[in-house]
Amino acid sequence: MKLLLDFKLVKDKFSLIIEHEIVWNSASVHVLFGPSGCGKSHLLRSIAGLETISGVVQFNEACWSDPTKNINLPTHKRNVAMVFQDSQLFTHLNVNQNLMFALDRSNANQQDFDLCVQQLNIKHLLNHRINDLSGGEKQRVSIARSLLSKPQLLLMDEPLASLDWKSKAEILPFIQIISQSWNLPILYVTHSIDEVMQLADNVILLDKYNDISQVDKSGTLMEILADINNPFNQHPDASSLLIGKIKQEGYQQDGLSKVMLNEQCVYLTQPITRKSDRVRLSVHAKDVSISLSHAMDSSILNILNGKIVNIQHEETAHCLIQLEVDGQLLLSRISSYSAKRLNLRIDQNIFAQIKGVALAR
Amino acid sequence: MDALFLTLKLAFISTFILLIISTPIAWGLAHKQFKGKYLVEAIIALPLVLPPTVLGFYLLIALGPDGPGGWIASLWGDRTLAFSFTGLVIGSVIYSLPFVVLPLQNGFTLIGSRPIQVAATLRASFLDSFRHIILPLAKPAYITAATLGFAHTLGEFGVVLMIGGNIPNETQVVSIAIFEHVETMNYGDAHLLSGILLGLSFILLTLVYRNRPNANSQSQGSQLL
Repeated sequence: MKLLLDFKLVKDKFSLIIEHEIVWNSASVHVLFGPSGCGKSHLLRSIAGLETISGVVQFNEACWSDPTKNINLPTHKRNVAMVFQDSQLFTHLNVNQNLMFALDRSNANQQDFDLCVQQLNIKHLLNHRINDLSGGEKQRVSIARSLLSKPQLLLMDEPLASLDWKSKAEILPFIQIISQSWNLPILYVTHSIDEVMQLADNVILLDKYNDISQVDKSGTLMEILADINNPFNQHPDASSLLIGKIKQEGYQQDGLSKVMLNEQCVYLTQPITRKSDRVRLSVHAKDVSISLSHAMDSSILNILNGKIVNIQHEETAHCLIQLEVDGQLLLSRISSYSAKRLNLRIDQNIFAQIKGVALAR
Repeated sequence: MDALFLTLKLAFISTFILLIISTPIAWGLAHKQFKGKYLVEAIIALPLVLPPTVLGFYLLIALGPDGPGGWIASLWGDRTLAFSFTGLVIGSVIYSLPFVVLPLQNGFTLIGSRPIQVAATLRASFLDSFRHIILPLAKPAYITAATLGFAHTLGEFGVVLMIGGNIPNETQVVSIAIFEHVETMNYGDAHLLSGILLGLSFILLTLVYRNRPNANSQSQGSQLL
């Protein structure tokens, strides 16, 4: 599955110039990340045909826009569905009628209907009016509606941005599952690093120089994260990912779960109940501190052996340190003062103390 | 009573035609940007400020034997559209146009273009989503537009006098009949017709205001849109 983009969109405040090919090797999530106002939503809207662009948009063999061939398919003829930030459900219809609006216009059947109602857990809401739903419920219905349109490509425009953390946690895990079970490539726009860490298989970074927005970099999430200069790392929420294997499912002694990296293991203070034995853990750089000896009298649960790979001083009083732990990269953000006091240097062996680990997926 | 029946017939037919032609005009004014849009808006709003006699005078010329109306009438062998029921309908439609276009335009502006775009991402064509999304959402605007158009046509006097004259069963509407009853000191009939028109207008306006969305449901409205 591939989406070929080669177009220009001119707006009052900026122009968007995109020459990029997005390839999904299997049904998965590509995350489009960039600062606010860099044109992420405009890029999605251009793909959907909601903006007037000049250039080419082609999905697999289907050409949606190509001025040289005089093709510019209207939105409703493109095989695409879109989930908006503010659910955009039709308020004169109830939940069931909103779903039927999509189903009536696509080749979806009753089985599809039952599957998405069950996956998104909205069966009990079917007869509710839209205005009686919570933000999270609205967004779940909205996602279900877009699935029932049976698109070949799903665009999601910051679908969780206006939700509280609880509703986010309700929806986020479903997005991966949806992509796989509906065999649907997803292009997901966000400016939240946590959402990138949890969702992304591949990342496309959009950036704006001199009022021109362009694709800055793209690649697998791991490739992007390996570069200490990646744009996530300038952010206070800069994170790294650790991939590990579940040692034993469910609650362990004292309520901890154990994840093996390679030789070392990480303990989580939350249960892991999933079938896949590989998990992705995300660790905020600010939650990782460095010591030269293995502290035995600390409350810190996870203390890992590591080696300093890179040190980058930031404009603030901080520095970002890239560590190698069991062959994986881990970021630590500490004060430049401490780095100087401990005389930290590249290739030095240290202990990384991890204050918090979250199960990304 | 013939005058009353004629007036209601005129109002019903005019309102029906008005709703049909105002829908694309109002949608265009609400959502399209084009050169000279302000000119179109000014022309549509003219009947709001123009004395009905002025409008009636120009209509008389246009509908008369030497105007386009005369040419149209010649298609079925008449000399003129003036002083005919058809002429009254044309006059009423022009005279009441802003009272139907403006509420619809406001309604469409409030709804915005988002619902159409969202429906398009669910494979709905423009006409499909207009029928199934915009019309239901704009129902309050349509009720207001229809009521105002209807009530305004009921009460017209100047334009009718200029282009329709006072032919019973053809162009004699209630307002003209009342004028004639007063002229001939027939106060009893004038009272009756005036009372009926007053009652009817009041009921219609009550409908408009009862149907007007309150602050609360409006915020819900803007949320969906």
